[in-house]
Amino acid sequence: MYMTHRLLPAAVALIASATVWAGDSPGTFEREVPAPARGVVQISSTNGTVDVSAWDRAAVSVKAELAADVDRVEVTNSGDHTVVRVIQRHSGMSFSNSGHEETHLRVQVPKDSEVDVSTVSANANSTGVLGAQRLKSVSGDITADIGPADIEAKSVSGSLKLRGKGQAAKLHISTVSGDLELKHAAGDLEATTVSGEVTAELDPAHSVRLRSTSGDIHFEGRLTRGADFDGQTVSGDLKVRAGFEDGLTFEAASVTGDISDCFNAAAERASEYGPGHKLNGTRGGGSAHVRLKTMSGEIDLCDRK
Amino acid sequence: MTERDAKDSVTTLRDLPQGIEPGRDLWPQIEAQIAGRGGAVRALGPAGAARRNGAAARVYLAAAAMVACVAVGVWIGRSGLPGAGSPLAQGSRPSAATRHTAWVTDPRYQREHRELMRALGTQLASLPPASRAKVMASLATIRQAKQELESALGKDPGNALLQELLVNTYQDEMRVLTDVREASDAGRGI
Repeated sequence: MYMTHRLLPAAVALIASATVWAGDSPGTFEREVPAPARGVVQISSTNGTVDVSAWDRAAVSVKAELAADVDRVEVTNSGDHTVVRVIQRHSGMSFSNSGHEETHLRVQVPKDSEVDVSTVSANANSTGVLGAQRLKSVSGDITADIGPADIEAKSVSGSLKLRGKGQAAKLHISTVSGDLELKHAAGDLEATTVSGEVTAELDPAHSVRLRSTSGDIHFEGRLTRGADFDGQTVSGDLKVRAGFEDGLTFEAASVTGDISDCFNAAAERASEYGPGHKLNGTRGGGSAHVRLKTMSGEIDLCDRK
Repeated sequence: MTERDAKDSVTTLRDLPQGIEPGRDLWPQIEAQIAGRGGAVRALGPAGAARRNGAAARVYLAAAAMVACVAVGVWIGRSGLPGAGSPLAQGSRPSAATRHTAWVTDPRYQREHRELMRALGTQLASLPPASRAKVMASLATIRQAKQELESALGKDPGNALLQELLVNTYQDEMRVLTDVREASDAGRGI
């Protein structure tokens, strides 16, 4: 009985597996497999484009135009996991532009699915997904709609563009040099970059942590009662325009950069003998907390959007 | 506490007077006590001297045991702390100035950092050329940020803001190295 339980998923996976060679018809691939409404869909492709969209059906549909260097597309379905993989022809990775046409992969998933997309240089685009999304690329750009569930997005040099509709979600984002653009988001945001530019718009925002080494950070939004905002750079500028529901308490500190604001408060020296300036104070009820820190970047704080 | 007391309060060892002369010559009384004790030992005879030597031995044994306990305690404390041997491990309340030193001298950090750096060349080679260039530029940015922060800390070692930024920059470097490793693995996995 125990063995049956252990072997059953593997057997189902084997039967449901739809490993199809890229030669369905020349240069194209098309397949549809049943999938649970709230399952996990994992998609990986090296280059070209990956488009993920949500629909109301309990199935995963895969359509692709394949470049010459693609060996095959695998679509496997096991339990609540559906895996879509574009396998390159050569085992070693080749990033040289050999003039082949790029691979374009289009995947439709049940709208409540969790989606996990991983690419190397392929650009990825996700629209309409309501489940959690994990989006990862090396140099490919990522664009995604923000649903009600968490998003974790990560890139090395690719840019990230996330767009919401004011629905609260938890967003965890990191890049090395890629830029981040966040529009019409709400809820919690944690974003880290080394040299990318961060432009984030959250309304309302409850918890925001932004960190950069040399990239500039620009935040615009409204802080909820008791919200927490941390912004930190080494040499990047910090520009924060934060409206509030119940006031804010702010602490801004810089070692060599300037601190300015839109409410005519003057920064003061951080210590009698050492370098640095600070600007501390309260606006309104002081409920939200804003902390801004930099070494040589400039800080600009405004309590209005 | 009176105003005078407050003014005269001692805040450092340097505030204490360097020498205080006694009001009278104490040596004659000390000499007399030494001479008297020697005479008393002689008066006790060999058995008394042995008892006295036994008591002295017990005192020395107790002192040795105490020193051993303290040594074991210090050793356990040092080996249990992160970054044993670092300034953090040398005191129960590390100052802000020792925090980043403790971070970078932690053997686990050093080992992890060394391994990531060793693999970096191979991992970079597996990235697309544009990505590789951007990662190298970002690592150079981090290196420069570390140098600037350390230089600023050299001038202002107690600056908590600089300490925090430096520690975070070290963490960012590790994150980038880890991300590059993951990206390289992802490329192989697809």
